Amino acid sequence: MTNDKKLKLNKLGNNMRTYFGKPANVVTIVFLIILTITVVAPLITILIDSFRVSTVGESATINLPLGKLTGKHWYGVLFDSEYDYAVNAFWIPLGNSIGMSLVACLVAVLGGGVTAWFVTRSNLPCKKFISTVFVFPYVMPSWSIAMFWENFFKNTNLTTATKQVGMLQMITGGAEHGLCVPQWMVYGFFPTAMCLGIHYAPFAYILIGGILRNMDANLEEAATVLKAGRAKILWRVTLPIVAPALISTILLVFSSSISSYTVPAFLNRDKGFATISTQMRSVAGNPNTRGQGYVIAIILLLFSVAILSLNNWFTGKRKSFTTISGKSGQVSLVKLGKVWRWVFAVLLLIVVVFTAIIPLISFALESFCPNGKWTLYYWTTTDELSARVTGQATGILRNGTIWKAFGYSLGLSLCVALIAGTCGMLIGYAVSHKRGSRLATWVGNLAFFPYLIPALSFGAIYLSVSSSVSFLSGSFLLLLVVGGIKFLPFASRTGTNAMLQVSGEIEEAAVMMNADWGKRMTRILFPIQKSSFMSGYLLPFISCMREMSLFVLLAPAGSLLTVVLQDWTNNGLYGATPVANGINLIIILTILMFQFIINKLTGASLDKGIGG
Amino acid sequence: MKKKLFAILLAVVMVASVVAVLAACDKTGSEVQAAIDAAQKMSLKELEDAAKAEFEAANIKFTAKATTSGVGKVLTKFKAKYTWFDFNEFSSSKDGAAAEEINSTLANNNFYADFSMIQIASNIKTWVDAGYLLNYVPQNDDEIQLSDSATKPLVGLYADKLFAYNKAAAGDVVLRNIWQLTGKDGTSLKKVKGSSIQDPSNEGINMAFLTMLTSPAACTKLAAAYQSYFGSAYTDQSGCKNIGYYFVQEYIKALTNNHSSDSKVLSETLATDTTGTVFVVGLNKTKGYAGSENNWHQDLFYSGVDGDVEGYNGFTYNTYLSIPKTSKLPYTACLFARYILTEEGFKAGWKDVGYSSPNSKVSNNVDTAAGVEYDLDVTKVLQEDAAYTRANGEDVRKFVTSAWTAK
Repeated sequence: MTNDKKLKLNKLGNNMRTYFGKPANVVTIVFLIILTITVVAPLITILIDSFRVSTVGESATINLPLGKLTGKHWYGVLFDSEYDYAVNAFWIPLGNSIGMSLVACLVAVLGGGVTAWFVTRSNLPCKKFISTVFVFPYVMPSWSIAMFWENFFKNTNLTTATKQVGMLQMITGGAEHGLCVPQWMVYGFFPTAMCLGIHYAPFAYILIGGILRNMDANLEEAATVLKAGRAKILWRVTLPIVAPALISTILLVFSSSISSYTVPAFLNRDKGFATISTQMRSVAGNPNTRGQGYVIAIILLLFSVAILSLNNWFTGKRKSFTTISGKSGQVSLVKLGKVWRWVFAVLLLIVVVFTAIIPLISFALESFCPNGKWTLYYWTTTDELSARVTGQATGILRNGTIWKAFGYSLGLSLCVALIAGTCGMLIGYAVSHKRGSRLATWVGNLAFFPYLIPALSFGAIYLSVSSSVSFLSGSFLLLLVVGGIKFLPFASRTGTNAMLQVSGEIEEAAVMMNADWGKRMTRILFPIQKSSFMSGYLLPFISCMREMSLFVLLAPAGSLLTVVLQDWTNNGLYGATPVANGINLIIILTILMFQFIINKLTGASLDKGIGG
Repeated sequence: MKKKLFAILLAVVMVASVVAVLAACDKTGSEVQAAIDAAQKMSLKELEDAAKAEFEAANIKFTAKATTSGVGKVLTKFKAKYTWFDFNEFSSSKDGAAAEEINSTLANNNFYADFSMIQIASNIKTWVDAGYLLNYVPQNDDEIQLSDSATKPLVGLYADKLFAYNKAAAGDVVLRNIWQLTGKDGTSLKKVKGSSIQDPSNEGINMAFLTMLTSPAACTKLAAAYQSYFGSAYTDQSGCKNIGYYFVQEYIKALTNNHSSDSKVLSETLATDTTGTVFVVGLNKTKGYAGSENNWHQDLFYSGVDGDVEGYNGFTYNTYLSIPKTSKLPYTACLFARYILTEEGFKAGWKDVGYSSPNSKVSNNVDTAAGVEYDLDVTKVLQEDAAYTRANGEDVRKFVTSAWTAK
């Protein structure tokens, strides 16, 4: 080896030592590797599998040998004209999904935005209660809202065979004279869009509310001094200020709604209201058409990427508004008038009670008081309540399968929260310390990328991976990886924002005192931003505990509590409904309890986690 | 320079990661077929001895995977009969989960189970053809008498999906011809008040039913029923491939409901139904009926039980007994498969009406509470055919998917 080469090698070695001497660099490289393996590699796998014959069923169906590259999956989904298959199996469901998502956006933005304005910018009474309860639907599994919707609106005028007296008909006069809403309000497009809108309204509330809360009130006051009317102020001052948050909310709700599977699957009882997600579930779940499922997953992914790019482009254009960010020392509330403040409060209370409190009561009533009789039977019986559900079918308290699944879900959610929260914090540390570097930007983007991937597509991606790596199939490890990565964006956003708020001088002072990196993280940085970091743990926990779409293709029967719940919802015999409602109640109460405890202990809350 | 280094670093990390993931795939081999071939030539005594010797030498527990919970009960009974036998905890799985597990394990020569009992004929045919699942056929003897059609692959259990409705709700309407379930030009049902089936895109058995309706044998029966009901021969005016496709299209158009589960139909819907809807629903689900004193026969019309429907009374689907190619206990698996086919084994797992054994030596199941002994008349139900559903399933799936969305 020549001296020149030796010198170069020494220099490289020194550079490496210096580079890896900084914890932020080590963290960045480690996460670059982890995220490349868990995000980029599976994406490549699913892309390859969308052009490949990946199961023997596909091989027999399209008459090509296993492993052969083919464009038939893409052709089948997009262009197959036999029986108008592509039109009916892809384009029409896609149109349905887009329409459904747009209505969901409207409901979410109107509901969440208006509530946010009243809570943050007016002298509305009962704010604290409204604010606390309004986020409940986000905590509930989305299809439990659909369950409630059906329980509430079903009636004896429906043409479907599922016609029964629902809550609305019961309380407005009973089976004979009670109010019966038309069928389109109970099943199909409208209720699906409404349920999704209700589920995501808290999301809009938190995002828009965050901007409104920090908005400089001087602008509105200046407009008032200039004698602008209230409507004009709202239209010309307030709305443009919240426009970026509004657009973000619309795009994010749209992106989440279009890939939602459980709600359209549940409320599709009468006619064929096909959505792109139910279609994808159908083909991806069939070993003979798995490749078509991968194609739809990729298209959904491209949709989300396009939406998020649009979001970034739009918010990037409106940089002029970033000066308004918590600098205002005073927030003057709009006075609604003595009567009107109560009128609006009552209206909002009706909304939150309907969307957040009554569902909880209805689940409790359906479980403890089915058919109008109070009973603990469905909680305590040792009778077999169903022959179709996987595992034991006894009452909830005596059902080993339910409690095993509860433990499994709780364990998984805690592990996912631990992994996502810790990784999010570390990524936040690396990104904030290496702000502006390409590597940090790449890692930051990779950590956020799973957010763009629809939950069902994300499940399909890992289904593709686990088909090749058999020990992963249906395992806790697989669910842990999937959950940890899918919910990482919440934590990494929270972690990055929290780290950016901490002045570099604080850590520098600790370095001067010879505090090692571990000490700096655990004794200084974490305690300073404890509530924000805890929010980064709380959100993945909540999301994982109530998640179904992400795991529907991956979790074995009887493993997760949400899977058991769906099993009881779909396959139970007599007595299944009270048990299903009881399980739903357990999930929601567990989440609320954890949220309450963490909030009391650390001050962390949902609104600190979502959107940062 | 920095840019170059960054690009190289990124490329190396990404390539290494992808290679690491793809390299994690595992592979092994299988020699179970030889054991099955030998077992097929053995007498019962020889098979019992071979299974016992194999089991004791392996010193492991038997693993069975199935989509029917009855297997758990048969395992218990089998263990009582053969004291040397023991098994791992059993719980039934859904069709999709079983398919997923088979594809992910057996494609890579990994262990799936010692024995499997699963449904959806077209999938079984695929896996048998691919060598994932191996077929064992016991010899006919005093205990077992199987028809040839029940052995390719080996059927362990028949179950029926029939047409059912609440008699009081239907009033004077009686279902007598399968064409009553189609709409006149797709707009209304003929005398029948409503029609419901579980979404075939999520319920493989129903998709198999619709697929079999397009088979040549079904077309002959449907044409006869058409002539009988309409008084004239069927002439193609719809552009459908055959009368079976035409029936499927018109049947889907006329559906008024799609139920989420057959079990729920019996437990929650049929007892209180006031619409008179005709459901395609399993006869074996009657044990969960929640109507008057749980006597389903008093309240409900079931085709084939309360009278025949011209065309077909419904659909009989098969659950197959197979031995995975990576089975560790193939002789024991053969003995267990044989036991399921016997009167004792079958009644241990499936004694309710709606289940039948392919073994003609097994007596019919009886529902003593309802006073019903169901004798499956194979000439009046459409029977699942693995070869036909495998060959034509995808075409019918596309047809059904389109008709379902367009209805």
